[in-house]
Amino acid sequence: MERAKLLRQLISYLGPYKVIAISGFLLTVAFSLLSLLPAYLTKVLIDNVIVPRNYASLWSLLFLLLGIYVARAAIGVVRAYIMEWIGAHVVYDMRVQVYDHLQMLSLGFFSRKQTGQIMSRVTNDIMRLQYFIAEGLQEILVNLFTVLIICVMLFVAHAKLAALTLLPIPLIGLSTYVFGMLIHPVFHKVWRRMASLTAVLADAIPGIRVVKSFAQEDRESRRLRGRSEELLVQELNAAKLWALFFPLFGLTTAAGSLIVFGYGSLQVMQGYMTLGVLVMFMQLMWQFYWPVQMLGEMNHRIQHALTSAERVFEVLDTAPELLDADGSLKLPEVEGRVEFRDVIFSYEPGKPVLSDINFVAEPGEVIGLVGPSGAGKSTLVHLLSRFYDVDDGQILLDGHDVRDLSLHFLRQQIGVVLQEPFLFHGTVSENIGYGVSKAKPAEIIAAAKAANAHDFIVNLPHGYDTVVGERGQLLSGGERQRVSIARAILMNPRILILDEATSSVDTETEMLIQQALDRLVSNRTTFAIAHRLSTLRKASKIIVMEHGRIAEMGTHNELLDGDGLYSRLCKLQAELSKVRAW
Amino acid sequence: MRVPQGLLVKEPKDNQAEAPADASWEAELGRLEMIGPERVRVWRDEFRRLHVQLDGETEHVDVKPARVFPVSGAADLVSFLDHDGKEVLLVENPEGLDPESRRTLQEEIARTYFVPKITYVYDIEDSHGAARWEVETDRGYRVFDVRDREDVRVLEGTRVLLQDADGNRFEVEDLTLLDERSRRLIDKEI
Repeated sequence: MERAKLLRQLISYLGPYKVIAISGFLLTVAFSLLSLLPAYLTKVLIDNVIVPRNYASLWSLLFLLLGIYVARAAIGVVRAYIMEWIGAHVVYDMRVQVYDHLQMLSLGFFSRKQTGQIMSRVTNDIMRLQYFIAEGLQEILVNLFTVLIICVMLFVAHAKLAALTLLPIPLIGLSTYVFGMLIHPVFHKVWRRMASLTAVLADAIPGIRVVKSFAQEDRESRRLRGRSEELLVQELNAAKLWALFFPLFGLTTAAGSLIVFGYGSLQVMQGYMTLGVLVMFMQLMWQFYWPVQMLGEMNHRIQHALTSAERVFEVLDTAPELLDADGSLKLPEVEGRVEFRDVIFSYEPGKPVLSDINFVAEPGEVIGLVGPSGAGKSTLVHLLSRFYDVDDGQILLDGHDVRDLSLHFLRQQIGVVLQEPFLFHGTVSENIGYGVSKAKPAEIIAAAKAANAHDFIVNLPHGYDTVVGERGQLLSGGERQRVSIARAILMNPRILILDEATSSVDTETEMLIQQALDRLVSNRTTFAIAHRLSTLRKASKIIVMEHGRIAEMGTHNELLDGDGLYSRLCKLQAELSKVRAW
Repeated sequence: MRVPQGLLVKEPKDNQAEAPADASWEAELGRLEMIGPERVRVWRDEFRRLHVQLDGETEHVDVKPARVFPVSGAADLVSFLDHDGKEVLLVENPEGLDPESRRTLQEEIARTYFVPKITYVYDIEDSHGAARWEVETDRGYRVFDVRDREDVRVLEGTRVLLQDADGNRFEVEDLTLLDERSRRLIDKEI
């Protein structure tokens, strides 16, 4: 992205706080001016008080200096707080904006990016911008201002000595620029390694059960060690450059000061200049080199910020692929009639995963979706939830194209129960009430009872207030599943998607879940994906998918008589159950 | 004669039917029966077993009361569970029970949910990844270890619930009512 545009975009975050930001800037200017005054007053002290033994002025001058130091400290306190305040607010705004935007992005974005990389942008990159927005920009302006004022003071005091003071400047500027050029790519590498390290953590820690089940702790440790080593190498490269640069900078300025000191001393000894002026020069010179170096470094500091800004804005500039159409509809009442009409869909252009999908689900019907893995069953229900839009054809809810409906409204009509239910870290009650804001306790209990979950919940140590742990790990698989069914029941959706909802639990739990599902599916249009075909006996209609197309459609008995794929799958499962019986 | 645990000793007038499979959510919500306190009697027998009786007829013996929302207090409900952990009655507003039943229930609940209230914190010291709390409670001086920061939960901004390494629970009812030193020490842990 263009640098100027990025900078403008960054600065725009100060907009809501411009009065405070300007106050902070003015305080910074005042702080800098007060920092320069003591150098001038030192000259006065030496030339007008110490040398002429002017006792009368000594105390007043010292009190003046004390006053300046106190004022500078007071301004420093207020300024530091203001800067932190602005930084914290800007970071807060940015983080909320990025996270809100992430929530709007489609599943496609999240499948393309690694979780850790996304997290790194929301945390690390935004933190890096905090300093630049709150202080970096002001520092650049203040440093320019300070350099200018010191230049004027030096030239007014002694033009020739001032010119000598400026001698090391080109060298400092050049070396700082070169340093910036060298360190910038190294920092880039450090950040990329850091993001990749976060990605490993975000991958391995949620999958720790798989890691342990396969006894792959060493492999994961090696993976992290590998990424850590890559990070270490780049950090050491950066450290080498830092270690080299600062002593060199110190040497340059020290050499510069020797020239000024030498020439200045001669001038004093020969009576062309007072001692006070020389001391003032020496003080100002040190105060001069630092902002010069900071300005030299400006390029690389801006680069730092812009790199992070680019990563953050890349997220913000990613337009949600699925948006509400103008005048999107919210139906006053949903009956639940779903029609797929000539639907074609592909994740990648030219590789359709669904073709010629045509069927109607009448309100309250249970539609079984079966077929081999990769046949397109899950994709089909994803399209119904409008996680993706069809390439061609239409999906209609009560005769309205789902693309014409408000996305929020559409998804409120659809309840989902997955094979591996995802619970959030929170209480049982919070998880059941997740889809309904401000659900009443009575409603939560009713949903839990309908899901056959109430009895196990009241037996938990804290009942409905029991914290389920990250992803609900403190509950068993069957308990998690029943909580997720209660969550779906409470939403009271008109359409229900059951994705292998009973396949990963024991028989007794399956019975409890099946009872709960029976209650859940009543009066709702239900799409049930199932590998265990016996669970679909009661389905109104079974759609058999193969290679992204509908191979067969009919009731259980019709398909069983038809000698097609469904019939073959049923026979195969019957054979398998015999094999399992030994 | 010895009565088996959790046994329904008297049949109800209208046996509550199993929820039909075709019930809608609205019907489920309507079916949720929370029993008013005026219909319930609770007492202990000579073997200290808890009895609960509905409308003077349906009686369950050796039941265990469980508060439904014991932490948040989102609703004042008590579930009576039989020995299989199955709910036999869900009673709302137990404060409205007759005085004898209320006293009995409160004693049972207090035993189940024994949570000392922290009134002063002497010290909280981090050692070996756990935090050792040295506190004064309404039940006296206590020292306990909190294994994880996750075991210290803040509710409603000022109420703090803790669980020690042995599963015992402690509570700070209102952080703002503690002295400054105690507040400062707890503040580091939350």
